[in-house]
Amino acid sequence: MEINKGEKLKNGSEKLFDKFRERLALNGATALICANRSDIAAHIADIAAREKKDGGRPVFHLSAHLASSSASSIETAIGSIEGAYITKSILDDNGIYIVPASALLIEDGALAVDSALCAHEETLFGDICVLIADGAEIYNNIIDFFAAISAGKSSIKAHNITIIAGPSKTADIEKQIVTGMHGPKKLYCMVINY
Amino acid sequence: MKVSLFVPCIMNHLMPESAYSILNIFKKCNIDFSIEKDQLCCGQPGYNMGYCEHSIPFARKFIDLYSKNECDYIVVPSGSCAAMIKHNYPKLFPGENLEWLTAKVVEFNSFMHDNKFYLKLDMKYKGAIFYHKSCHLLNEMNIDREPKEMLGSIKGLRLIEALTHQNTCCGFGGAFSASFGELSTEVGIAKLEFIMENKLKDIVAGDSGCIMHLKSVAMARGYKLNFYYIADFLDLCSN
Amino acid sequence: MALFLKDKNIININKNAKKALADKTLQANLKKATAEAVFKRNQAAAVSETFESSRDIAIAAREASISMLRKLSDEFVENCVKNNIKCFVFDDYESANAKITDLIKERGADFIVKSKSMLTEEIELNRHLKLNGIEAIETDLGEFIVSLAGEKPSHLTAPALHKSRREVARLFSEKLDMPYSEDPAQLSYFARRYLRDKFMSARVGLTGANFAVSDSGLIAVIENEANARLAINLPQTHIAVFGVEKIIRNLNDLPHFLNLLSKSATGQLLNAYTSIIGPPAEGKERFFIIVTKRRFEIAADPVFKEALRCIRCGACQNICPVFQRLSGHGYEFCYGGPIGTVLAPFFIGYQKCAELIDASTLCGFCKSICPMKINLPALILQHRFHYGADKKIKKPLFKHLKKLFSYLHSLIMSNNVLSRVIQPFARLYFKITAAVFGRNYIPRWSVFSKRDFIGMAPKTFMESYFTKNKKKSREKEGDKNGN
Repeated sequence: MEINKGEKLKNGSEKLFDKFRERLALNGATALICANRSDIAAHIADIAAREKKDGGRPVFHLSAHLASSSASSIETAIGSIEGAYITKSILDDNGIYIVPASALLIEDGALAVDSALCAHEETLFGDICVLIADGAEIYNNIIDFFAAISAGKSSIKAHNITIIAGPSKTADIEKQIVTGMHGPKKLYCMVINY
Repeated sequence: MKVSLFVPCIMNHLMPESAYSILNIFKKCNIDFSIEKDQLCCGQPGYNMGYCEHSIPFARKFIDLYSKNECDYIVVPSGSCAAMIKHNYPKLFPGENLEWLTAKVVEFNSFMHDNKFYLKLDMKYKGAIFYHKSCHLLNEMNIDREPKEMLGSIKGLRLIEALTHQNTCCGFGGAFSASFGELSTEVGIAKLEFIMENKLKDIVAGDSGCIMHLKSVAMARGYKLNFYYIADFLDLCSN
Repeated sequence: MALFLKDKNIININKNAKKALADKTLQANLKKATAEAVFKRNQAAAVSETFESSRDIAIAAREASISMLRKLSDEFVENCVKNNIKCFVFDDYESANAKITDLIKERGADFIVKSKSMLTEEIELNRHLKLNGIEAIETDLGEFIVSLAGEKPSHLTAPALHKSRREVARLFSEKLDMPYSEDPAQLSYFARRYLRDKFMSARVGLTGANFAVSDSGLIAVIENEANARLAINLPQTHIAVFGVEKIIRNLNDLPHFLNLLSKSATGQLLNAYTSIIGPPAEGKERFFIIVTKRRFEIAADPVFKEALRCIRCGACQNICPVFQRLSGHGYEFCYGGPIGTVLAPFFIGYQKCAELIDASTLCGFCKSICPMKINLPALILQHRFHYGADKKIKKPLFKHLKKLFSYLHSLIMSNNVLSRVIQPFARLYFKITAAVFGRNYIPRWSVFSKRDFIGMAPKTFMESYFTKNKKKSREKEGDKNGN
């Protein structure tokens, strides 16, 4: 499927999404597509259930720059999970961080985060990082992405780019992959597509 | 088509039977061949040790010898020697036009393959063999498809090769094998152990240098393996 | 002509090989890790739509940047200044180390958090900082392990490749007083907790840079653990140290390099984190220390400039049959493997590298796997030529013997008469060794119980073929005469 560079994801782009999901999985992360509000609620509940350990209460941190419609869906979803709560403060080392992703790089199975919209700590701290691609720019690959940046066609400034492809990981002890080395253990990407 | 066969040193001194295999194949394919009686080494040892000046006398003799020969091809049954002549001779004599020579020199595998001679051999074999991709054949001459297609054409043969991440050099490396005896030997042992782990007994290689090295290791280790230079094997299968 | 038998200055590859080969854990780790790395690299390259095209584009981009390195370097510094980044360019290690030390001291720090940087290994920054009372805390897990053990990294991208989980467990429990565990996940978690405190309290974070973009005054840092992101973003001051060859032209070139590096180094489509670093955030400060040592000289060399294409992925190490056994430490130089062999003579001198430059089978797999298609075997060979031809290099005895051997080979074997005359003597030699040792013995070649020698044929092909043919033609002539 041809992509108009930087175009937003729209209906009929399922094939593209399949490839993205497959590539993100190769990078050790999970892509979830949300076609409506109840999908968001289901995925959030699912992620919270994974995080909840031994009766602990799932803690969510919502980034200030999430798109307003998806933010309100997410808040509602969290509200309906038993014991879950939302905090504005940056917590060290636990919690589920929900932050906006500004671009999707399909072939690389990666996302670009704009540090003008998201503090670095928000994608570094916490056990789980959930990137919300709501109205994100879409590119075939990193090459098209940087071409758009350097031509000034993207809304992201070069020096604000962090490209994230998978959770924090290491293989420094006997090549065994361990996630959550210095950053999150798990990475999810929710593509809001409605 | 007239062909002149160049016999590399290792083949000449240590395994003359492989050169005879080539001649057998040539006869079976009705190839009009000759051999230059005064041929010598191609000069690679000195070159790879870093002394170009010591390879110049060899190169000079090679060039002079074949400048009088009116053959269409000089068939060189070794990736190493072929690369030396084709790629390095022009560097040794920068002012000289050696295109006539580099165009004539052809490695045995690509000669047999590209001219489709191997199809005339009507080859049969029963069982599996391991094909060792000789380094210079593969990495210097980019000859990989050719031997595999030839071996693949043998009826009843199961061809096994190492995937890239399992594939290594046999450890020979010319002077390297003497300067770094232990390292070189360990590389050879690993190669053979990989083959035995895969329960294979028969090894075909594209360069006699590899055969010589692997055989030498197998002898000391007491490994019961059969080694064939590719021409030996093609000849064997076409009987 | 000065002859000397043993020179402690010469990197003794044979001795290092003996030591490495005797270490069975190291051998097993190396074998597994290197094979897996090559496998993953091939997989990633096969999945990618753009890997091969990026190779050609990146090579052209690098060739261009190498050819105008001085100009690019000036332009880069100018653009960094515009970005409120302070840049310092040094040609020698001492000045670079001194400047970094001063910057840290001025900020009243007695320790820094540091992410992986090969350049800091090259300039031996940690040793220098220690002498000045500053502790450099390595935060990449592999580097952390290696520094705890008081060792040096053994691989470009997997610095603790040589350590087993048991060794790491012992190290953590002894040096850090952590509960003993051999579980990599548990060990990683211990290190995370220990290092997170350091990150939170550090005043200065120090990183390397994978690429520096000239036209926009930015650097790119790639990693998987997120330690570099923490070191860059948490402390007040960020210092990045890198070699001038890291500078590329523009943002259009950059993604091709990122594409190649992640796949070649660790077989990932992209590394977990790619950070583009520019102007410091408000209230923070950023410094770039650029080291030019020897780089301009290499860039001006018509042959060796190719070596500056290297993006430090370590693929050539993974596929190298020598590295797979010798390990990074055996090279006694911060860069090991084929690329290390190519760079070493420039940085530590030819004299020390007498054995190193010979320690390659020239098999050429490194050339094929190198994302930047550096002709590594040809460059290693070029070092051998230079070594042999340069009379100023003080050479050890074994090198003179090697040259003598090469000379005698040339003298005898390039002569039609001598090369035939010597045959019976060679056969006699093997007859004697067979009688004495029970096998064909060649000094330096024969390794007891591991490698014999197949021996010489009773007659060379040329001898047997031409006597046969002579007979045949004589018979033919005889037939003719008979008729």
